[in-house]
Amino acid sequence: MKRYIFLTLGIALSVLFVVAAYLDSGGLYEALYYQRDFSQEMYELGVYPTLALLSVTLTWGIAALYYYVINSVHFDRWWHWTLMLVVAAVVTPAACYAVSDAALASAGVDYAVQLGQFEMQHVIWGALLFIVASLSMRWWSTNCRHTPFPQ
Amino acid sequence: MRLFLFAIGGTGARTLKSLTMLAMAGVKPVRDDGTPLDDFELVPVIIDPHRAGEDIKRTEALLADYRQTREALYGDRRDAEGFFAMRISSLRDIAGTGVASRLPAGYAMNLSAVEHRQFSDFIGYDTMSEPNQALTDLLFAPYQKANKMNIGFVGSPNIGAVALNEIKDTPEFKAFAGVFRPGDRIFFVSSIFGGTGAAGFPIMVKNIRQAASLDGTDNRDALARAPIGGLTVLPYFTLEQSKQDDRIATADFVVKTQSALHYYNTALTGEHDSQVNAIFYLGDQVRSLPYRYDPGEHGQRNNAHLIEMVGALAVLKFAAMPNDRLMDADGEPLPRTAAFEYALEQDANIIHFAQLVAPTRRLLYKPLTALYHLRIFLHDGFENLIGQGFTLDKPRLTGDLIASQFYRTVKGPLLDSYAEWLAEMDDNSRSVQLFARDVPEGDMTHAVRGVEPKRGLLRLKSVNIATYKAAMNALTVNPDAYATATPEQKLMDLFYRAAMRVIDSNLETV
Repeated sequence: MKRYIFLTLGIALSVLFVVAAYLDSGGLYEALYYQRDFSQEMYELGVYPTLALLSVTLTWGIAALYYYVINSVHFDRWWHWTLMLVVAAVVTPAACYAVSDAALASAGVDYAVQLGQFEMQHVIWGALLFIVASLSMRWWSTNCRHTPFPQ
Repeated sequence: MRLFLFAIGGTGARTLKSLTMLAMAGVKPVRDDGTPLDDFELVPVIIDPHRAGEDIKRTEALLADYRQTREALYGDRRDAEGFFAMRISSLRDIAGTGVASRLPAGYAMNLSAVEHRQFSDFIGYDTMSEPNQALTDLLFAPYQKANKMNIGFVGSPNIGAVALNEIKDTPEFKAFAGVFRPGDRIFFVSSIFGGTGAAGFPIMVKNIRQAASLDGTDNRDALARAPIGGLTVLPYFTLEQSKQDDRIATADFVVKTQSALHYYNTALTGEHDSQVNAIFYLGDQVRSLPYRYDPGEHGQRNNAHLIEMVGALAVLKFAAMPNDRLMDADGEPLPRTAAFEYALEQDANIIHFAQLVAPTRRLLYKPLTALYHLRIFLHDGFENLIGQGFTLDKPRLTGDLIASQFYRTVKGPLLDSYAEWLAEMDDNSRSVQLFARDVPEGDMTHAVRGVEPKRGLLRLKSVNIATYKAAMNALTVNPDAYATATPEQKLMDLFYRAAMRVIDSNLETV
């Protein structure tokens, strides 16, 4: 039962994160980083929902990779999981940077400095979403279900 | 169904030890259709006045540890599956409270009336009349009369035939007669070329069949009609020659065997006077490496031998035999004794699983391999896995388990005995080399002689601690899998089930 509660909760939190990116105010993203011209541009280009969806997809994907593809007795300790957390915390902002940069470039604007600062929050979002995804899906992993800590 | 197993003499004790090893591995009696006999309980009784003999002490110690371990795993259940599945009880365990208090602890019959006396005192030689003394002198050599029977009967069945008549008056025999029920069976394991076994088997059968005339014996009718089987072990080992002592000589084994077989044919298995329902003859013309000459004074410790392992299979076969092969529709023993022999698949001096016949391979390969892997697993890996994977599922396997008496008994005395038993059979002749001793310590992939790992997608599969960890993790992914088990039960059952999977998936079948 516990496992299903965690899964449901994890899905709900992730959906909430995506939904929050659709809010008129710019949602969570602008709450954490706001720079008028840059934020206006990002909002008008509709990048925020894409970034949220990408972040969720990437972090859940990395978690799934760890728990169900790698799923190895040689890679089941908390430090292995931490390594995957670091990967999520690096890959997520990098991917989001690439997507945002492409969107801004297509609009003919250049906010390299602001974008770099903005993407710092994806380090946190990537890590947090990876934790949420891990706690949601680890229960059915044969070899890593007790990682990063026992069920 | 209970099978009362009377293991007589040194060969009986060593065969019982082999049977206990098989039971540790989870081997159970299997019917002809391949289904295991679940409702089965073995009640071994060792009969040998030489209770200080090393072979008897080793067997008793093993049985005591087995019993303790089995009880922790399954309690009173008879239908268990896995390591230690076979229920093995002592007479004391199953006798009523009042009777049990009169029985000695352990599995060996207390023959104190015999064992502390010189044979001449036992028969009252000094009080005999002169003609009787002369007759006794004809029947018994001076060294036999002088024999102090706490070292056994030193290869003299004529001593045993007299001394073992005392058995019917022992509390153990009376307790056995009291708990025997219709449906139970009796089996004897004895050698025919020595003293204790050759004499003990016919005497015990006679006493059981004549139970009706024994005073104070319960269940007389059930005993008189009881299905009785016997394993008669023909010569299979040799002794070093002793220059000072010729009481036991290898050269006499065949003559003794011929005489005893002749007598057995008359008294036990005769066509018109069958007292035994089934008899298994087992021997080997390839003799063992010579054992140290020891009539008994130095402890008598002989290496384990293939014959004893095969002998243990006879017990299982008899236990699983359908009733109609032993008795008629009215429950009366069939008039003719069914006789059985055993042959190897190939007549080889080095025995791997492949040299055993297919039914034996099917019965032994996976359980013995699983137990072998368990030893490696407990010695080389398990303790480092605490706090990981399957050990964290409920019930948790923690340091408390490793510190427990149960764990230390399994990892120590029991599995060490198993390794010693395998090594002794390996060192003997024929050399039973089921498991490789020349591979690196802890190598499970190449541990089974003549068995190669299966081919995987890119390379040969392997078996190691990680393989077992993964298999055990997979078996506990359901959190309720062992919700009601103790840590001991979880560890042993989980490893057994994992081993069955790993052996099937990673190793070739023999």
